[in-house]
Amino acid sequence: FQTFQHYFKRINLSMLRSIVRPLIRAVTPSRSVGSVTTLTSEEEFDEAFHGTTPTLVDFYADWCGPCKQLSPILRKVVEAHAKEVNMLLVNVDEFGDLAHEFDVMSIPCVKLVKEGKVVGGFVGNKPEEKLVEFLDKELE
Amino acid sequence: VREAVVSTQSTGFRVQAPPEETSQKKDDHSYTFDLAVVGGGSGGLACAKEAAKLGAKVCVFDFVHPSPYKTTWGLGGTCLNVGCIPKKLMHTASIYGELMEDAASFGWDDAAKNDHSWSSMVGSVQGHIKKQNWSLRIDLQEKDVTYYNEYAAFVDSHTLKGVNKRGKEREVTANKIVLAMGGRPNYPDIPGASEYAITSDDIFSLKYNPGKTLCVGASYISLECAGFLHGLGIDTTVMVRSILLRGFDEDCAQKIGEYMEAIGVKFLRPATPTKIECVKEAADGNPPELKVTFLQDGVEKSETYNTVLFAIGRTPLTSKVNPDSIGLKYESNGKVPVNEAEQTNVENVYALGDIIKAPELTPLAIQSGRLLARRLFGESKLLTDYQNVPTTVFTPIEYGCCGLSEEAAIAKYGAENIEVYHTKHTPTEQVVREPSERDGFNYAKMVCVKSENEKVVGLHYLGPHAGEVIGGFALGLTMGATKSDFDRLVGIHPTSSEVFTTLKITKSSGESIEDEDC
Repeated sequence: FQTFQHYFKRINLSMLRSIVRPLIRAVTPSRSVGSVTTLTSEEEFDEAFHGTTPTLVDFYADWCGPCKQLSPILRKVVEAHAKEVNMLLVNVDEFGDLAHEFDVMSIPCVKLVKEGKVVGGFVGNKPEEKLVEFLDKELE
Repeated sequence: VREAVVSTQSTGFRVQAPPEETSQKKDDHSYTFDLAVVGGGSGGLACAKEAAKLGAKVCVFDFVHPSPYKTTWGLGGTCLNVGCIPKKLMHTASIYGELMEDAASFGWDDAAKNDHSWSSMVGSVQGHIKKQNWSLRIDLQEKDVTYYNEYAAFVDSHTLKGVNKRGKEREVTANKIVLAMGGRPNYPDIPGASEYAITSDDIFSLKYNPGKTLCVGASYISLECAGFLHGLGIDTTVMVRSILLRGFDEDCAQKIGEYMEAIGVKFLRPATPTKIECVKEAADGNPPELKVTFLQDGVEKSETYNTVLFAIGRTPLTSKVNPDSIGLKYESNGKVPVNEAEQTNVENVYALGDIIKAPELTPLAIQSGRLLARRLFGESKLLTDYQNVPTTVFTPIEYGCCGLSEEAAIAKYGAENIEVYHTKHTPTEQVVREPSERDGFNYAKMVCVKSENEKVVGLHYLGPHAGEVIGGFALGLTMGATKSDFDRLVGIHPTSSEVFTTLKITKSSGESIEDEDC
């Protein structure tokens, strides 16, 4: 009993967490988190555009204030979303032709693409709740 | 407005409807476009947009071949990307430095001049430029002007071939063609020039502080660059073959040189560079070390600099447009002769902007582009007035002028027929600052023709805000104002512009023009 008491005193909350968490993870199916990448080539875009996982394309520029506000929040929403969705940041200064292809006339401009189609999107900065709403609806 | 791109094809998503299938042509001809413009700069875009507004079917070809230093830029031409705009912004940055020094005399005790961050300034400047590149592109889309990011050249007088950055070719036919490609800086034919030196194409986006800089050339480009570099705290030298600012009023050009020397810009003159060698490569965000060998007064000398900037002239891109295939007449320096309606020797081909023999200025290119479009596609008969075009040199002491230089007026009317009124002046903003080497250079000069009631044919101003001062007065010159018209005008006080309403001392009288107290 004394040995048990000695070790029991040493068990604290963080120890418990480090035992329990891996156990829970092992028995819960893993949620696939979408990737967030910045576009580096048009071929990379082709892959995402034609892929089966929906991709949220975020057209932005370094000189665009609202873009700087939207992108991090959009990223947060994408990463936290239950359904799998990737996010692709496209710099319109580097990929002007691509922006032109997709009729991007003002930024920030977000398009949801999947399997070679544009299935939804919006223009301009939006608050977090609206972004979550948008993703919930589109990923239905 | 194009329809949203929705594609079900598995092979690519580029579903751009070719222009052949859309919109009506304006005139009765069988070409794809009513107008094709080569060059998306100040003149080209103005012409294209005006023509589209008048119902013409228009396309614009714009493509920038990277500089030897590998700099490239977007839509908008020289002015926006590597000319007027970044120049004025960097000149402004350097003026801020000067004003911070003077601020103490106005009670800003803590206004110490801090170290300048080159990369921060370039970031701001380039951010603005890229925003404009984008806006211009959207603007063309909204105005239904087709934009090809391709290097265009003639196949025949109605056919252009464009090549994009991947080498893909496209042929386009047009009824009228406007050439507005502008020019690019020259490099001298000396060893090391294109390998190690830069030009105005590169300075405005330079990723590192240029360090100790040599500006070669006596042009306004060389002096403006040297001016703002010096103002930002950079060790700057100007190498000049003979006189400064050839073509400008000699009096004023001289004073600009003296001012720049007085504030600490070094001048090597007369001198010409003969060789550039790299002593140490650029690394870790630091500029290289370049050894420049030059001839000064027949003696060979050398000096080390971090950056060498050539501003020894610009050549129009005429030879690149395959002009011989259509028999286009052009001069050995690339300039394309045109008649008063900007028409070349080839009936349906026009030229404007920096490639023609006219002041190389954005507002002039824009004006001639617009009026040309109105004559071609509208009912207008108005020609561009190339006389009395005002301009400003944004050296540390600014120089604004309109009309003839004193020498040009004497050559045109004869010395006995010219009366020159002039004065020194001190802007009120400068009266409290500490006396310094900058004092005594502000100057104003009015060139009049005696036999025409002292009609004002030239106006010259050295001092702050030169562009703002001269711009409005240019209207007086175009309307034939005389000295007494200017005298009858009541100036605004206290400003610099009012100096032109109170000129009384003539050069011919020999009287002193040293400043009087107000």
